Amino acid sequence: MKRNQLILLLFLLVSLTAIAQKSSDVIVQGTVSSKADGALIGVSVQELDPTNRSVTAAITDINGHYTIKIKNTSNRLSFTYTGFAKQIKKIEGLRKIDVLMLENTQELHDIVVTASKKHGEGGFIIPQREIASAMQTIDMKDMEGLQVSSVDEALQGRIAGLDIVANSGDPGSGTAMRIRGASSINGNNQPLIVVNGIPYEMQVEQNFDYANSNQEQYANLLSINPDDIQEITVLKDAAASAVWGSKGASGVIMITTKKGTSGPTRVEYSYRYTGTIQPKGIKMLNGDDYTMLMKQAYFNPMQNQNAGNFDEYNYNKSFTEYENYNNNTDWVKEVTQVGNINDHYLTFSGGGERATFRIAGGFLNQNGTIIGQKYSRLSTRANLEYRVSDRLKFFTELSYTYANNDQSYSQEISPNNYLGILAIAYRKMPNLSVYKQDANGNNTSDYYTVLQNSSVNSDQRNLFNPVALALLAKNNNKNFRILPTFRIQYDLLDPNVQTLRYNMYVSFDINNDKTSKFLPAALSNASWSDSKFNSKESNDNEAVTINTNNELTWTPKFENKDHNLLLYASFQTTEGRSTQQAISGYGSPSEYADDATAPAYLSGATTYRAHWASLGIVGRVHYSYKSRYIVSGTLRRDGSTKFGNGNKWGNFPGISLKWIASDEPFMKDTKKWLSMLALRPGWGLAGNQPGAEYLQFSRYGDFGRYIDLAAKRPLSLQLMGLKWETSSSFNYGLDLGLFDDKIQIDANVYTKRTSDMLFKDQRIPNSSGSIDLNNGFSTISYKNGGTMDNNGWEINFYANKLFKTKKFSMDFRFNIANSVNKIVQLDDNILSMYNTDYDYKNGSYLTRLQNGNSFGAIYGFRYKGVYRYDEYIPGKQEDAPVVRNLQNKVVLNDQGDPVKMVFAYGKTNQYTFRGGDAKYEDINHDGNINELDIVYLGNSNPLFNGGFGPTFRYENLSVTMFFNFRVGNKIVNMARMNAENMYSTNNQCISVNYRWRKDGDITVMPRALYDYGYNWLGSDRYVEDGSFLRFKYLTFNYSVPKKQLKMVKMERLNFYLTINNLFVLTKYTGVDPEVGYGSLGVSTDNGQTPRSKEMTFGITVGL
Amino acid sequence: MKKIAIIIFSALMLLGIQSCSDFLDIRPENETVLDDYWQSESQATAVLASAYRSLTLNDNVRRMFVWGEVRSDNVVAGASSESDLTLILDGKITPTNSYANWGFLYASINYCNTFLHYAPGVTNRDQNFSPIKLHALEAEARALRGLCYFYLVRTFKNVPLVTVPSINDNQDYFVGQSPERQVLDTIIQDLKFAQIYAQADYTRGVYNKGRITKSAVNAILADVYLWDQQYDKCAETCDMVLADTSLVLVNGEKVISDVFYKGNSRESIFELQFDKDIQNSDAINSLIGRHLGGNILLGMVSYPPYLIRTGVYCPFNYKGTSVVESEKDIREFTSYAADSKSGSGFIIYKYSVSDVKKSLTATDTYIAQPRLTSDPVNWIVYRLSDVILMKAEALVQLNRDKTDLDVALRLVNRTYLRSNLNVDSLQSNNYSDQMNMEKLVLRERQRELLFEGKRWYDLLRMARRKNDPTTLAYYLSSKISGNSLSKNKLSVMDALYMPVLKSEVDINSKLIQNPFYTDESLSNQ
Repeated sequence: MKRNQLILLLFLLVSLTAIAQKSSDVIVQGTVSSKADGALIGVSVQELDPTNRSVTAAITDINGHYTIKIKNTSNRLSFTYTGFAKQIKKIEGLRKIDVLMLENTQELHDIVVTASKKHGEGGFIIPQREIASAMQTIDMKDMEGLQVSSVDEALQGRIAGLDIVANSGDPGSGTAMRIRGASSINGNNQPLIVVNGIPYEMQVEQNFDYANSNQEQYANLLSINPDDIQEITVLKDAAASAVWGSKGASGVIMITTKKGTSGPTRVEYSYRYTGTIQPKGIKMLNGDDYTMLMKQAYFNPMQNQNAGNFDEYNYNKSFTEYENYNNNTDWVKEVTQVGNINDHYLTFSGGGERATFRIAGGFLNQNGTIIGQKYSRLSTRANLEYRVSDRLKFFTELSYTYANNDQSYSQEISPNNYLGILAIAYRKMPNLSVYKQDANGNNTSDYYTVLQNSSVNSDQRNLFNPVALALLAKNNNKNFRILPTFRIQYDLLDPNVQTLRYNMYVSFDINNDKTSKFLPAALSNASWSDSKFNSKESNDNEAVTINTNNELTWTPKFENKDHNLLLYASFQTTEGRSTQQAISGYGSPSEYADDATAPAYLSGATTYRAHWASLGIVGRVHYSYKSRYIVSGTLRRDGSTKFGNGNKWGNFPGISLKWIASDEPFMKDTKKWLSMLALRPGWGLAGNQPGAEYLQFSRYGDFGRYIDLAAKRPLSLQLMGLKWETSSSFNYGLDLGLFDDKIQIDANVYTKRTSDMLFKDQRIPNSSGSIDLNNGFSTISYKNGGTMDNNGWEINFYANKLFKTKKFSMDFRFNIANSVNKIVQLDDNILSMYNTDYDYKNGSYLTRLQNGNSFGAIYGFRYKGVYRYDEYIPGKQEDAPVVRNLQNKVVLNDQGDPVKMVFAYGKTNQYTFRGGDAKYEDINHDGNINELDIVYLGNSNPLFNGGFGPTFRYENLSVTMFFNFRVGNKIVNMARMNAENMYSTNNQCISVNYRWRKDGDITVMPRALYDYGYNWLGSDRYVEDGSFLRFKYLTFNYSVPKKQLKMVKMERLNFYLTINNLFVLTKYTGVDPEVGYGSLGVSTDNGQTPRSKEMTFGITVGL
Repeated sequence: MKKIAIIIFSALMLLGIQSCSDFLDIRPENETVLDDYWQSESQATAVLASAYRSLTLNDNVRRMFVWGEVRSDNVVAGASSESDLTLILDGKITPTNSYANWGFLYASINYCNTFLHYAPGVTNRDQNFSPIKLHALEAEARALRGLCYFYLVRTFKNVPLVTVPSINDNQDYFVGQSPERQVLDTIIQDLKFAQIYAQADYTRGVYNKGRITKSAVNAILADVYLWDQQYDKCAETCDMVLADTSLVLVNGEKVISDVFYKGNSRESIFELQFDKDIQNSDAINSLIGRHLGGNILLGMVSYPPYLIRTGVYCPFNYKGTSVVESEKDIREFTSYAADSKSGSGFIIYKYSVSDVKKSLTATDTYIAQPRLTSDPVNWIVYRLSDVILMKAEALVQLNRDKTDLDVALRLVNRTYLRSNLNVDSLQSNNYSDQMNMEKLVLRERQRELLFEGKRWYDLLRMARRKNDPTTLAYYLSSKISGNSLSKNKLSVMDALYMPVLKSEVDINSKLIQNPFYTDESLSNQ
């Protein structure tokens, strides 16, 4: 509340200073006429104060006469009339002013304007060439004609050092972004988004896990329409991001939206149509192969003929459900479709001398590549700017977005383990029919659901029919987001003398989110008392964030023009609140009563409230001497609600220097070809705070009651010693411009050390009694403990009109970056918590955090193929599971028999290998495959990544290509592991047809073993090189020549065609080598919806 | 004018900064923070209530049952059960078994410690919270803490002794184990304090059974003395309970319905209270059994067939001496479904049914009345017959002269005769020596306290007295089905205690794993 009062006061103050001027009652009158027309009627007469603010106004009458009551005789009168030149007269002692208007005859001369590009962050505006820190800007003009549904997609591969990986190809799913690698293990590694100077903050739930969940959080970026964006700047080093303090610890992405420009009103309409196709994934078995596999998988473990004897696999015509189990269904094909996007966008912009505006609205409608996925978005944005005077300006920005997303319903197969439609399709048994079939094998109109009393394995029985799930179940998300912003800019001194400018803004972010889910009973065959029977869920979320900023900028005037100084101070606050309510129920009597509020059995209801606030005080200095020696400094003091009294405030300084050597007099000779040579060393400190509130309190909460005594208990340990996670980084930059900046290169080398790293949920002994009753462990919610380094380099190359003839030109851009991450030191108990013992289970890789090693390392066994024979017969059947010593001689026991190879000797799950089993390298030759045989298999961090692409222009046609690449990262292909393990009743991929079936088979695919054996231990069999080169897009853009447009009175007519994701060159066997980072930085491919191929056709019409 | 404006702006900005500390102080809206808590008697009582409440959590009730019953000869596998429980039934206990997690009891201990740390300060803030009231509540907290540690020390032997609350991250939570002796001394100290200040009568029936009373303190203390082999003090303390005239044995035929279904009976001393809304007796329902759709469902455990045959290790129809013990013992027919085997064992009736009645038509046939799952039952920690037999055991061990054994036999007869109607008392000439009396008391405790989480500790007490697990292993031999390797698992005293949870040892280097479990390959043989 206090904050709002303060804002109000400031408002008043600004208006007061503007109005409080001496008034006197002087009346001036006169006539306005022109030579040709005589007396002019309706001429606007305005009294202007020294800042050109209109104080009073009048209009001439039928005789061209006017009378105006003057406030101040030192003001001037302005006379404006359409078709005539504006006249300005001083008042002073005059009481009668007659004016002769002159006709507006315009003569144009060639004017050469030499302006240098400015870079602005709020009130802090400096020339582009004086920027001393590491940042890169993309002008969205370069992106014109691209079909991007979000900003992150547009940025992908274009910024050196910004690694963006899309989470999946589902509409509305977000991306994982890392600027210069991950600097925090538990904290937020996503960069801060700043829109028009206002941080776009997410409200984070208490137990939000940054490291592991990435769906949808960044989807809010989607609510900015790419058409509205003018440019995007990425701040990479700490010297630049220090302005944002702890919020910018992982880098900052600054987005500037388009504004109106004065001139006649312009109308622009664009339409884009996109068709999307999902690439072919792993090819799965058909029904016949599947049932054969299953019978073997059941038989093999105990060699029991009856183990797999189910009606569902037997193709026995007397089985009542026979017709439903004799099919060859391609479930993946059944659930996928050709998707499409229709995108309309309409913009009005224009304005006059005092006011400019830009109003835009768009409607996007998308059908996903999975059946049932629909996404529609209505977005509007209005920017208004009003100049009260030369010194006072008002701005308002208003954006409204409404998105309606019909997502796929995910099935919860075990607590907190969800399967999407595609994942179900890959698992579902293929001999099953989609629709219920009658006795003659004809489809009926009902979807087929496995009967509850079926003898088929419960995994398959409980798996929903994915087609029915996609079409009948509901998972709808509706999101409203309104962002109004009000700004004032006021020059306290005459800007022509020197600038002392005050800027302020108040910005609101109102976000409403409603998710409703419904699962009809028909999908599960569940009985009415089952919690899956017509189960429904509703989740409402409402959040309001208020940002305020007050800033002062002062550019002192120096007599000596060599000095240039800019001083800046600002005070920023953010405060937000959110409430969330969720209810769930089941057993509603009808499938039509699908809202959770409809009467039914209520199975759960939760509410949640959150409140967050932060404060920042920033001071900045920018000084340049002779425009070639530059010092820039920043100090931010951040206040956080998340720390105890001692550590509430964090100081984040940054300093950067720049020497533009090419401007030195001694470099004059080289200026012809070396247009820019600058060195930029810089240093900065950034901070990170934990993702949860109330950590500094010991909280007491409700614990039900005992008998009739209300029970309250301490819920959390008070964190008294928690500190900011800080990262200190040095950046050494080089700017190079060749041949009049035709070729621009910027390169950066950096070192970054993060200390007091925040670790979440650190185990403490259970004897402390502060046990979490849900998971049975005691934890401290956050703890500082450890140091990590991120070092790297990045090069960005841009050639503007590299080749140029009269009609033809070519641009080329290229960027490449590398970041190496190293754990310098971690506390022992943190290491021991992450470095748990090997669990001896199929499918699990050992992850290790080690001092001196990097994050994201993968450890596992070495896979050596399959044992050909079961029994060892020297010379005949050599390839059998027996122990061999260092000399590769078979080890014999006391009886002279060869010793068998075992897994996990002496453990409860000890297993003796048989013929057809997977062969793992026995590194230490002890005859026992155990944790001692686990070796380093690679790392998920790429050696380097980047992008490149040319743009060709020929007259009015331009062609842009862009490629992006990552090299040297390892991926755990979990999707392939699950499709090849032959361990469950899930459908498998066709490669398992090459499995070992009988003694002597030569193959790399082990035998089928249902729920038995160790054929899919975490080994290098599934660790693959994730290097790729992707032809990301190819765009043709044709603008119809102006001459031809004049005839139809059009300003602009553009056509474009974009093909996204043309091809990927990779050795990776999965569907898509672009895989995000999972826990501990390991990339695990769980087979998300692959990135689709898209073809977009667009048209833009300007009037 | 402009200068004034600048001054005002600067002033405003300063003002803004000054109110920062307020602005940055965000407190939870649905919870109270420590600084604002501990103001009144009701807040103090609420934390004590949490200690009780936490004991009723499934995790704790399950442990009381698994530690005290599942390891013993009283139960075998029932309906599908969770893997960790099955492993214990099979004698395959490893440090990764979740029942080796002692954290849930430490949560209760922490609530007691928190109460004991902060409650004395409340007397200054709340005028109504008199020192007498404080001491009475402190007595409850210390008795509960003692009870928790008693479970821990019996199950793990050496355990970390934590008597300060866990409040913030500046404390050292890495505490090693204290020797059993020190833990027992602390328990006795706590209980002796409670003995003085605990309320004898809350003047509210349900509190007298659901909260710690003076008799409850004495019952726990007697049990501790018995464990600690201080038999004279045990007998003495039992006498204090027996002197409580409000405690009366219930009629033998009504035990199932009054004591175990309706609860809070006259013979009950301390039982954890469950209710439909906050905490249903889910742990009991799933472990022992419940009723669904007209059937009484088998729980995760059942009564073993090997205890049905007549033999030296069978509690009922015991023909070891010239008399046959418990030939028509009501407890045999009411504790489990003696006439129909389901699966690998017999459905347990005690706790899972509302009553077991003698059939009016057929002789020696009993019919169980189902209990709805939504009908909660309480979990009895101590009841009068337990204390009677504790005293009997103590006297048999004392064996100062013939009277001790005679009195012990008379005590055994109290519980025996109420369940064996129209049968002669057990005669002392049939149990003439200490060894026979010891076995009789052990059998009577087994019959009387079946499925009440007592049996394993009874057997363990026996083994501790001799510091030799051989006899105990005989009792369990039928369960472990003669496998010689399995018997090795009970060959050393350390094997009778649970291992420390692996993840607990992993993070706390001060903990010493029970030597029997240090090598998984050994304990797995």
